[in-house]
This record gives sequence, structure tokens and C-alpha cells, in this order.
Amino acid sequence: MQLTNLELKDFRQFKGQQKLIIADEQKKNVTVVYGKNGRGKTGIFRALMFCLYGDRSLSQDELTGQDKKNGLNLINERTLNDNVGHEVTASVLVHFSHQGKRCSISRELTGLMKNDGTIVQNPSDQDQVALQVTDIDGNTSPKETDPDKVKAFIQEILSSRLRDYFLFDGERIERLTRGTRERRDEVRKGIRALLNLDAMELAIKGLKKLASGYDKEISEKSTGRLQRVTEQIAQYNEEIESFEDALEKDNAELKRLKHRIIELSKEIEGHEATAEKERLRKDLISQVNDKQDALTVLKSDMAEKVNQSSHLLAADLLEQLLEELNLRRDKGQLPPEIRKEFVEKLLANEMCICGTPLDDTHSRERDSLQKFLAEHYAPGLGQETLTLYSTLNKLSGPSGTCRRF
Amino acid sequence: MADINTVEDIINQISDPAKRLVAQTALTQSIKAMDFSEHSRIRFVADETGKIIPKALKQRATDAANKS
Repeated sequence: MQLTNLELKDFRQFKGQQKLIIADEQKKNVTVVYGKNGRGKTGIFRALMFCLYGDRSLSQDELTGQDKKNGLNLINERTLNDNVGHEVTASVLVHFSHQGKRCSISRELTGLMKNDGTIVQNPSDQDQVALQVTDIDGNTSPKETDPDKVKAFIQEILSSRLRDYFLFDGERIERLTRGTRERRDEVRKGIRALLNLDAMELAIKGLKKLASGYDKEISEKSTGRLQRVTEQIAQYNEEIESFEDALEKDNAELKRLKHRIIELSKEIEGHEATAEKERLRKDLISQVNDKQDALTVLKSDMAEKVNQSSHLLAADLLEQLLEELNLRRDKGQLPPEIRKEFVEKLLANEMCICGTPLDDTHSRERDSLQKFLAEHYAPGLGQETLTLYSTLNKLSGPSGTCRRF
Repeated sequence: MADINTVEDIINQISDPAKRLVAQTALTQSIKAMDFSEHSRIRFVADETGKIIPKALKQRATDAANKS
């Protein structure tokens, strides 16, 4: 079946006459219908299902009981509203080709809106349906309006049991791709329907029933030893059947349990995966803490280095100053690294730190010390110079410093 | 890749003409009965297939006679 076009009249969202032409060119043979929600994509699909099979609802509407029987309102509500109290007809015409034949099927339904706003549609068995077929030679058959014959024609092309697997909309694809038991059941049902397995099982059951009917007939008509044997066979057959039933039930239970095991295993795997992630998270947190500690150490190190290195800005100048101070020291123009007050105190106490008295009995030592005081603690070369010299020397030390630059 | 057989293909491979005809009939009637109610499905298949058995046996006898 290859669709050619769809003509809709007052069907669902499609007010008035609307036509959808399906691409059928050799190289451009895909038609995509897209649009926002409620714009009629599923409406087109409904139109197709209504026209071909008389469906007034889709499986995704999930209607049950009387609601399913009544179906949805398929007539355009604006048209109904414009004609309150009057009958309105909605119709769908589908043109398609199949095995060289060109076919068109139309189906229409009527309904009206009552004054209180309720909508009444005619029952589905009163839908007007018509089929016209033009064969490969161009001969057109008379219009077929018998609903059963039209149904048989469509069933032959695509059985209503299989249509859900060939004709479906995006919402159904979404449902089919869900990884749930519902989806699996649906796929399983589809495969069974495609392979005719249900019919096959039914045929087997029918044949078994037929065989047991014949067996019964034989046992009724037979006498003597044959009767006993046939009765025994019937008894064994019954036993076999009950064993098979039990086996089938056990297999179903086994399948259910296997399925449950898989589900539980997946659940456990999920927990294991979570536990692994939790362990990883803790690991990462500890790594972050370590890095933060390292960062703190590096920051303080950096601050120290910056402190130590600030003098580098004036490295050349400080170098020159140190050289000058060294020169002066060599000339004896710098005070020694002994405080003046300390030397003065020794002279005042008349006692050296080595225990030598500095009184008149040792005037040579005392004079020498007085001379040292006069020479090395000259005005202008005070204690500040001494401190500066000492600092510059430290900077010039091995830890890092002007001399390196 | 091996050919994918339909159930019908498999049934057509049954060599005994009587069994083949019964199996074909059973399947055809089962497909028809799929939309029936649960109660009448098997009964329908059994009844409809039962009708074909005399014909199937006759077919087998004719085939056997032709072969000999």
C-alpha cells in the first residue's frame, strides 16, 4: 500500500476541505508532518485509521468500555458550533495504490451539536463507506459500499491485527522505545502477530480438540480389547495434557522469576555504581583538601619570597651601597660590630670582659680601648650605618640576593 | 542469509497431503477465529477443520494411487 493523498472535510481540527498530498516521487518519497502539539499531526493519523478501519479512537487514547465504543468526537467542533441543531458530515478520502491498482476509500460520519452543547455522533456501524478500485489496465470497478466487503479488502492488504506495527504516529514510537515491561510486551505481541504465532497456537489447540473428539468417538464405537486400549490412550493423553499445562505454568513462573532476578541484579548494580561514585567523591574531596593545603603553603611561601625579593627592585643601588660600605670598613671608617655603649661601659667599669682590669695598672690596654673608641665611633657613622651594613650583608648571603642578579 | 519462512511456508513443506491439507485448513480457520470470543475459538477451529478431514483422506488415497 502506497498512500497518494488524503482529503479531509470537517474532520477533527481540519475545518472545511483540506488536502494532504503524500510525496511519491522516485527520489523524494518521504513526507514529514511536523508541528506543535494540538496542530493536527495525530489528527491526520486518526483520519487515516478512521477511513481505512473505521476507528474512532487510537490505542494511545486508552479508552475502555463504552467510551471506546463511542470513540472520540471526530467532527470539527467549530463547524458543529456554527450549525447547532443541524447535522454535520465529516469525511475522509484516502487515495492509495496497491500492487499496481489505484484505490480510493472514503468514509463519512454525521453528528450534530445540541443546544446544550453536547455532541452526538452516529454509531460507527452507520458510517458511509465507499471503495473504488482502478486496475493496472485502467478499468475502474463499480463503487463498493458494502462495509464488510470494504473491510475484507483492507484486511487483505493490511490486517487490522498488524496495522499497529505499520501505521503509527510519533507518540506510539515514543511508547515503543521505552525500556519497560509494557514496551516489551507490546513488541512481543507484534512479533507474535507478524509470525501468525497466535493463529498457529490456536490451530494446534483446535487440532488437539479435534483429535480428542475422534478418540472419544473411537472409544464409544469400539468394544473389547480395542475399547480398553483406546480408553487407556485417552487417559494417558489427559495425563500428558495436564503435565504439559503444569510445565507451561512452571515455565511461565520460571520466566517471571528470571525476569525478577534480572531486575534485582540491575538494582544491585545501580547501588554498586552509586557506592563506587560515593567512594570516588570522597577521594576527590580529600584531594581537594590536600590541594588547598598545598595552595596555602605555596601562598605563604610566595609571600615570603616576595618579601625577600622586594629589594631586587633596587638591586644595583644596594650593590653599590654594600661595596661602598665594605670599602669604608676596610679603611676602618665603619664602627666595628660592637656597640659604642658597651665599650664605654667597659671603660667606666674599668674591667674588660676577659677579666683584665682597665685601671691605672693596665693603662696600656685602657688607652688602646679609648683609641679604638675614638677612631671607630666617629660622628656620622652611627649605629644606623652598622645596622644597614649588617642587613645588606644578610641580603648578599647564600639564600638569595642582590649578588645573584 | 537463510530464507525467512512464514508459517504457511512451513506447512506447505509437509509431505503427507492429508496432514498438509488439515494443517492448512486449521491455520486458515484459526486466523479467521482470532477475533472470536475465547469460548468459541477452539470449537470453531476444531469444527471447521473436522469438515475437511474426509477430503484430506481422499486426497491422500488419490495421491497414493497415482504414485503406484
